[in-house]
Amino acid sequence: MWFKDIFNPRRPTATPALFDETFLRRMERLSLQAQRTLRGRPASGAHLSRRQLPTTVFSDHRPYSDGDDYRYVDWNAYAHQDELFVKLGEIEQDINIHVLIDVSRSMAWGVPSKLRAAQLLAGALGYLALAHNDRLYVAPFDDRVGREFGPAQGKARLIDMLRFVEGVRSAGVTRLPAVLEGYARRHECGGLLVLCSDLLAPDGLDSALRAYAPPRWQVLVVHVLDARELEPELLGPVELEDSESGALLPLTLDAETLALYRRNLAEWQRGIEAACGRRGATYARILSSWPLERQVIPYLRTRQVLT
Amino acid sequence: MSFLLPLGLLALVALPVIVLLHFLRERLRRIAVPSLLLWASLPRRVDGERSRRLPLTFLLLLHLLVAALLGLALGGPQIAGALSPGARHTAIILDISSSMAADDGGVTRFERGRQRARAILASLAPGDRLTLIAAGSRAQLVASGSSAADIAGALDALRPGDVGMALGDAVTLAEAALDPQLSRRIVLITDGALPPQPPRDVAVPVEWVRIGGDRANRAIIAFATRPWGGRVQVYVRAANYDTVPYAGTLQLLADGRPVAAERIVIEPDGETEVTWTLPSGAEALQAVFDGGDALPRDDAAYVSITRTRPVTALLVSSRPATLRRALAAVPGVAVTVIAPEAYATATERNAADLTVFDGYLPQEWPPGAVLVVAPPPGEGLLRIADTLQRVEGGTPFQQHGAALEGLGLGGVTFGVARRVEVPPWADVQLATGDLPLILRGRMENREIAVWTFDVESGNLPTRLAFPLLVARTVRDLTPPPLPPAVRAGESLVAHPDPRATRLLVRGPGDQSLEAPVAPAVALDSLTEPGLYRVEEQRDGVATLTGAVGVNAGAAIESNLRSQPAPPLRAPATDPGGGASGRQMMDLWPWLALGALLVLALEWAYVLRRR
Repeated sequence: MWFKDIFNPRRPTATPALFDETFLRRMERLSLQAQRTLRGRPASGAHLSRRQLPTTVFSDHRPYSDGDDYRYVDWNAYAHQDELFVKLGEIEQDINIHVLIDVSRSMAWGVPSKLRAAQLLAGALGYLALAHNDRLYVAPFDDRVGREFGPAQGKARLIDMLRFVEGVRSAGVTRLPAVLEGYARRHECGGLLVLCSDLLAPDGLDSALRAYAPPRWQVLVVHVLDARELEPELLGPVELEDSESGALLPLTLDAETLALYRRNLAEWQRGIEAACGRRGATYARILSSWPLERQVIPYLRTRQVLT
Repeated sequence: MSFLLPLGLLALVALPVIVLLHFLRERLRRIAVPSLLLWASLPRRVDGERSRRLPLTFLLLLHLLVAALLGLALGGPQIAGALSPGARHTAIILDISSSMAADDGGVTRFERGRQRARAILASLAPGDRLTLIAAGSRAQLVASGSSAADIAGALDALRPGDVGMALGDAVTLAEAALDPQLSRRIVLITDGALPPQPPRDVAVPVEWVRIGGDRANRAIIAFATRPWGGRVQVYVRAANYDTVPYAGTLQLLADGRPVAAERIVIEPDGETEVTWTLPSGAEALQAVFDGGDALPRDDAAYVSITRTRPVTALLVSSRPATLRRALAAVPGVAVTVIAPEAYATATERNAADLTVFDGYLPQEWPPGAVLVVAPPPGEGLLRIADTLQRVEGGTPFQQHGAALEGLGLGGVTFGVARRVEVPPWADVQLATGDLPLILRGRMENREIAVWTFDVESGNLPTRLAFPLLVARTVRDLTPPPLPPAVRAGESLVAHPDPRATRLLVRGPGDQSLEAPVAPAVALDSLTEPGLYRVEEQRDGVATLTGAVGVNAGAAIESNLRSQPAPPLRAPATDPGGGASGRQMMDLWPWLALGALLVLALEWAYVLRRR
């Protein structure tokens, strides 16, 4: 209502652009650390594969079979041992990279919002994927997967990808298991999955990750939190309102209650981390207030997500 | 401070209700969190703590303030305003009865009373109001307001002359007219010549202003005539309100000519009666004597001798004997008879006051009153059955209406009658069973009666009821005559002919007035004693002239000596809101405005908290 805006001192301020060009150029020096077990296409890409194929730069041999290319026959070995061997070597491949962005209403919470942090990270990782010729999928989700971006390959799709990421808006409630299971069914080839979410869903993450088992999938769970979620600045009688469901919870907050909250929070985080460990996923917790280049990227490098 | 609507203060019940609502539902600071997932399992100790204390919040104070302001506003609070201290509302009741016209030291009592009223008018302060009520035979609010010029003009236009003073009505009118927000009082200016008054409570103070002292007076207090075997008997009663006997000559004038005189002696505070028998022929009489007193207007009296109103009746009948005989026996009725076949061309048909159709009905009603007897079958002006119906003897009659009241119809047989469909403008005054015998109604100012029976077929013409029925019907259908005399100021009700277009009244001297023609015309301005002539005109031609006497003499009015004050029980000071002498100011608009401002503040406060 207009009169509400007249008296409301908190006028909306202009949101700065998510990405700037110089940052993206610096990001180009990095690459996503994909496991060799992932299956990709050897036609292009920069990720090493566990598979060995006949090659001139070899590290192993195998006996010659009918139909093998004579160009890869190790004639020196044939001279010594009077048997035909084919030279085998490591190959590089491209992989599928799936970036899922949680756009439920809880992600809009915080200053800056958690969604903005997720958008920044998704844009940065997407840029890396396109720069290294991987096939990129970007999908926003709340209680279902929204309109997807991809597959896209090559830096020519960079602008489209950034516009897509910047255009996502928060809405709906989080339904993690249903969304992740459905997404895995549609993408049976597997790949590297980056899940950017605050994971505030009543259903557990453990069952949701069941469909993303290695070696087909490599999963990175980026848990986005706000600093005030970790240390609420609340005291006294309050009425808490769930940003997704609108449910109200009257409480009287004091030091004892807040200590119990922090304990719940720690247990919840440990549970998520344990679930990720059980399902072979990498867990990375970041705060929405962290600067991406100075804090998030170094953190992911220590977690060996980026190299 | 007082409240106009104390019932409105019930709205203050909202105050404890608001406190209760705040107590039950303390408004908590609402904080949005991403999810209640981590908060839901925390212990909830909020209910128990909250119920132990009243949340004294700023919002609660604002809500209580709004409810209190609105509740008080609904009560209609008033406070004594400081802008017009001492504002008063005075009601002057000025006696305009005939006795006020008595001379009192060179000027009349009425003039002295008017001077007192002017003095009160001159003492009006800014903010004061005054109401002027003339008390004569009726009480009349003459002027009201704070404009001294308007009230003075209305005061100058008043004249004394009424017989009697409606004191009770005047006091009631004054009480109703006084503004309770001002300091009220009633000033009663009279000479005290009042009829005995019942005790009466008055809500506001009454100031009794007595005008005039004891004065001797002689008056003719009764003057009447009656026909007496072709002559006229005259009756006069004169009174002497003095402490010494009166001796003088009472003179009688007929149409302005002296016809009799008699020496009279009246004892102190006594009365005497004189009667004469005169030959008829005069139109009006005047009795006069030289009272030599302070009130000459009651030394003469007037009366009209004409008792009946002349009626020209046109009987349209082929066998008129019975009806003509009965009509001619009615005093004042001149009957003309024509045959039905001659009616259409008769010159009298538009001039007749009453047209009687016997066994005949024209195509349209004549302009005057109409009596239809034994109408023929047809569907013209009336829907009448073809067959004659015999009226059974012994069947009880249903009769009502003034014309039939007290008329004995025992033993009367009406013979045969035709069934007439009762038109919407008429009602049945006489019927037997479901057969109507006499209908009466008015259509377009035309009085109409219908006898459905044939007069000749029964025994009615041989009964005493027949001439009575004819006479009553004629009187019922034609306008009544003027009264012989009325008292000064008394309303004269004239019933002019419905066909008249103008009614002129000419009084003594050059006094003349014209009244609009209506079935009943009330003339209220006849205050000057004398003989008034009333003239009905039709299209500029006088059709009827009558006379009526207006007399000022009356037993109470003519006694100019001091009378006891009427028993009015009034408080010494105004017990109402105006007792403080200040004008009351309404507070509710300010309270409502305050509530609006507090509501705006509450709105802004709530918006800033979000």
